[in-house]
Amino acid sequence: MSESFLVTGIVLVAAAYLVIRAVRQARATKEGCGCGSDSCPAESETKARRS
Amino acid sequence: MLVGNPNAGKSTLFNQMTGLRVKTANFPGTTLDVRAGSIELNGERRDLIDMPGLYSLTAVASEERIAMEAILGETPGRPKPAAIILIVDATNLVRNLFLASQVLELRIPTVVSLNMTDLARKSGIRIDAEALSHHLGCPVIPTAAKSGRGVHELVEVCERLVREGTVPAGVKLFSGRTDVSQAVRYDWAEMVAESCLFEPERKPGRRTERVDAILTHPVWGVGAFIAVLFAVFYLIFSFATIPMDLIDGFFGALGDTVAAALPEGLLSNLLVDGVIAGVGSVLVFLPQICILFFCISILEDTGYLARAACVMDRWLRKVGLPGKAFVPMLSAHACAIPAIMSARVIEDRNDRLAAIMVLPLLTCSARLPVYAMVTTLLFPTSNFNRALVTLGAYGLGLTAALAMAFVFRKTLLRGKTSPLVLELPSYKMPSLKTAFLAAYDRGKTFTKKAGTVILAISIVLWWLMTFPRMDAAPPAVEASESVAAQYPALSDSADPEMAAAQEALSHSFAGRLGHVIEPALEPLGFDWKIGVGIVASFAAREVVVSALSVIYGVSEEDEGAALVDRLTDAKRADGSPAFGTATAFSFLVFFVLAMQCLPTQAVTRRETGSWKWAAFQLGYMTCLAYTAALITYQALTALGVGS
Repeated sequence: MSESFLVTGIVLVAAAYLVIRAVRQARATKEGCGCGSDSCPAESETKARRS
Repeated sequence: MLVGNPNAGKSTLFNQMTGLRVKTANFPGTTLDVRAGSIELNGERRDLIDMPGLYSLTAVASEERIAMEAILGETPGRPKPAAIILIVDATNLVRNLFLASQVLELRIPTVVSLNMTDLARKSGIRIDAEALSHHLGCPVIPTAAKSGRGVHELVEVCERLVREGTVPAGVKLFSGRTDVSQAVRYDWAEMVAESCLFEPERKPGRRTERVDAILTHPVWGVGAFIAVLFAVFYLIFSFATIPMDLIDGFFGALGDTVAAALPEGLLSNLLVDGVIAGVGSVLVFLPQICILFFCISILEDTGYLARAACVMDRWLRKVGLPGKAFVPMLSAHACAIPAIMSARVIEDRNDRLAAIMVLPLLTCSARLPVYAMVTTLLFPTSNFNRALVTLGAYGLGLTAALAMAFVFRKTLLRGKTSPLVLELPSYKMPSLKTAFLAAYDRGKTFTKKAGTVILAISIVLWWLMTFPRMDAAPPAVEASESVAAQYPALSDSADPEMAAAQEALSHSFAGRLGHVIEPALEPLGFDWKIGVGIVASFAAREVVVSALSVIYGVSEEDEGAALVDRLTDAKRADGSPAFGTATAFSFLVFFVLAMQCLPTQAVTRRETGSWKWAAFQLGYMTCLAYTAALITYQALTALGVGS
């Protein structure tokens, strides 16, 4: 039973991560590009600003 | 603020001064946007702004306009610069002095960084920095941004300029005149260069010209380009084998250890078949990604890619794309997202839309693991053949992009195109440090993606492949009989446990979805398991590798076996190989041409301002991929190539 709970928990966390990431990416697309690529001009400026 | 001609080394100097690592290349126009970092001046953090390259302050291109507005303090939210670092390429003094003559009239504290002095010295060029400083009326510091020489002195002078606010004396020759013509400015630049520049007598650039005559030749240039690409792919497959085997062995051993340590059950299955198989199967391709970007960095640094741009420009114009589309097309080979964004440099709307529509057809780095997986399936031992097929896949992507651009320009997006005006940079010795950093950065991004998105997708996919569980798990013998009844071809070979696994998989959510879409994919040679992999890969292309690994990990018996071995051994319901030669080629063609990338869709929507174009891009690419894969599979099957 506890194994089932653990597995369900892991799967739910993974699914939640994917949903949150998709939402954050959609928001980031409005400002920078959100792709995380170092070759991306908007992304590197965002990183540079953060640093 | 860093200001200078394109390819004068602004971004390299920016990286040296800020400690950041923005992209640099021996290629004019690498910086297309304003970048900001910070440095400490007089104990205070100040913004350091890296501008796109400018030839003059009478700019016409959009990236030049961005730079001009920022220099003049006309960019909203960005004040006029406290000081300008004017970067002058010591190997091309006259042309760089033209821009200098305009910047010095702005009455902003300015220091000249006389850059690339190391290269100039190697060519026998000497520049009297003091005499130059006298002519320009501002400090001149000799620098070599690549090695960091002179950067410390440059920062010290900047501190003094910001503290004292000393503006340059201006060009004496022009004082009081507002209408100085280009010819007068060039005369002045030549006069200054004559008095400060000592160049050895030489036959001007004969060796460079001879090499350029081949590399930019309409026929030989294309041949050289293909040869260079083939060499890169051959290197990738040759050098990546050992580290790939090591990574593969590590994940295989890890899977065995976890399977042995945990009691058999859901958790063990999740960790071995979901997490380790999913992430491991993608991380195996890390060495190939690193080697590819190492090679691209070397090619950029040497100045070869600018020659390739000249060769490509002829083809771009023939299909109606503007010459400026080459820069986005080049960056699309890393990732379509920054490529689509950099299409902003194309002024005309129809030109830009045509470029954006075709950019995702060019092979991005996410496709490389898919190509590597399929080519290894086809030719497990021949690096030559694998390199050849990969070259063919890159060529197919490029050809499709040019063909679709031609179609769009003749139908939806008509208009005239403008040629590319590009100054060929001088050949340089590539920097190994830059190449290693490029490989490291790309490897880090790839590993991060494998450890986050791909890990999460693998877990969710494993769940979809495992649930809902059958009410009462069928006894192995019953399941075997059921499978044998449905699929007579398997009746001899299927062992009872494997049959039970197949039955459970068909019953799962993913299995049901796979069976729903199977009829549409069957003509392409794909069974329902490949279909599930294709659906999962809409999140990101490389997910198909981990998805197939999870799917075949759950359904096949040989736990811990490498993905390619699993795919080679995998059988369909009728007993034929799941990944025969025709299917493998069809799968490859599909992934060369299909969109399969949601983030790219989001960026297309943003850059075009409408979901209509994003939907159109997804629609036409999916149709193109489907049709091409269908033709490939049916033609190969008709020719008797194994399905």
